[in-house]
Amino acid sequence: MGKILVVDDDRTIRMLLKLILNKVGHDVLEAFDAKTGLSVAELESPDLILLDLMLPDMNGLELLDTIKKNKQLEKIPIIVLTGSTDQENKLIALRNGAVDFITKPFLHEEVLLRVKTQLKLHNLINSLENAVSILEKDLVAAARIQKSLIPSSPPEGYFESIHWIYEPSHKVGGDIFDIIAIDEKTVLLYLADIAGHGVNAAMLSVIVHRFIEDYCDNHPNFELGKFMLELDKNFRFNDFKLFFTVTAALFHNDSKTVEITNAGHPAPILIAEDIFELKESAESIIGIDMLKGSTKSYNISSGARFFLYTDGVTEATDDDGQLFGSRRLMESLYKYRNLELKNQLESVFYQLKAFNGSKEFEDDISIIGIQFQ
Amino acid sequence: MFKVEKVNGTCSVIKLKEPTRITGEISIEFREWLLKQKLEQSKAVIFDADNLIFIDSMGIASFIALYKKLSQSRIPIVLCGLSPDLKNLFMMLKLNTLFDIDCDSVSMALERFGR
Repeated sequence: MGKILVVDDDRTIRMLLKLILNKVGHDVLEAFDAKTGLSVAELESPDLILLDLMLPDMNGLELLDTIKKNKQLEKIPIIVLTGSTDQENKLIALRNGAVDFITKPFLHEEVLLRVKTQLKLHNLINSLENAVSILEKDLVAAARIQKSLIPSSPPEGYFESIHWIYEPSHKVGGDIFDIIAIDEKTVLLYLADIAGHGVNAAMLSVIVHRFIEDYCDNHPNFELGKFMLELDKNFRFNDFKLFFTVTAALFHNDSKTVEITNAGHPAPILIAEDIFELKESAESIIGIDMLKGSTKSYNISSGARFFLYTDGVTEATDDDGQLFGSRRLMESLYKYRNLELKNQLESVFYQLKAFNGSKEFEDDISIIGIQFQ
Repeated sequence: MFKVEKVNGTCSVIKLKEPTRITGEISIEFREWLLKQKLEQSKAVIFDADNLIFIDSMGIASFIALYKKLSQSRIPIVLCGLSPDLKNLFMMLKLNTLFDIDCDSVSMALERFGR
């Protein structure tokens, strides 16, 4: 039952409403003018206000306006009490935030039904707002956990430099990457893109991240192909109802080669003398039993740059719905190739943002760049 | 938004009623809708991509879920009329091994699978 404030200068009306509402268990507070009504409302925070529009010290519409502008009181539902001929004021009150009106003289049953409906609605709205607030807090916490997984300082000594752009499209996203030293001369870089966004995708991204970290710790004789087969075996579509794509690159500093495997991910890009996509070895997505674990090795020259990215980059659209596309990405990377790696990535990202316009990115954006020693 | 019709009494043809981006919430709706359809008796399931502007990874997961559901019955899933960008996307994911993406129109798909 609720706490209801009746603001009316007519004592008989107040008494009658009190009688009706008390009978079904509501607590009733009374005020005979606007000033008292406002101070009782501030003091007692009622669940609902029944407000007469004809008050001795202030027009009821003005009090309605004052309450709706008060941060502490604005959410309290207000039902106005009006005379039968007061059509204009009824509309103004509804426009200004009243939730309903009761025309005098009223039937007991009508008062009870209207109050009951508004209290129920108000409670539902409150519950929804609380639930949303809890969810939002959870999302912020999930985003913090996810961000903490992104390497803050990559292992040193393997590359000349490494930088990245990482922008989840919502508070949390499905992109995840890491750089893991396998031994003194070998380092693994992977970038995975879990289908979808939000908490589901973020949770799976955390599990994938943890799995890979653990796998690398426990496999000193790390083999890229076997690693991919293990991912495919452990992250089945049937179990998670989601799939993910991943590119993993194993850099061998002694032989100056990079071994690549790609499960449904955009091909890595290499800029040396020229720019090209490293399309081999390309296989299907993780989790549907189609992976063979094939890999392909490429020679890498000193000063060459290597880029991994997720499809959020190439699938960003301009206002006409045109995709940014891999061609535009490659042109942009090539155009800024003479800048420092960090500036090159930032310039590409700036161009991507300009292309996407003022709207939010629909998908997570990840671009990782490496310059070889 | 989505509809399914039986053609020749054998094939199920899935259509989008209007130009649609199967992304975000719509992807989730699409998956729920798709998996509710009774397609097990079909000779082939044909998705008419004429009105498909774009599909995100969750949307693609809907087709994979459908594939998993129908794979024991060996019912082919045909995605016809995909735009070049979307065709490239399915090829990049190597999903052209799960789905037939080479038909340009429903009539071509019916010609191939509906007899």
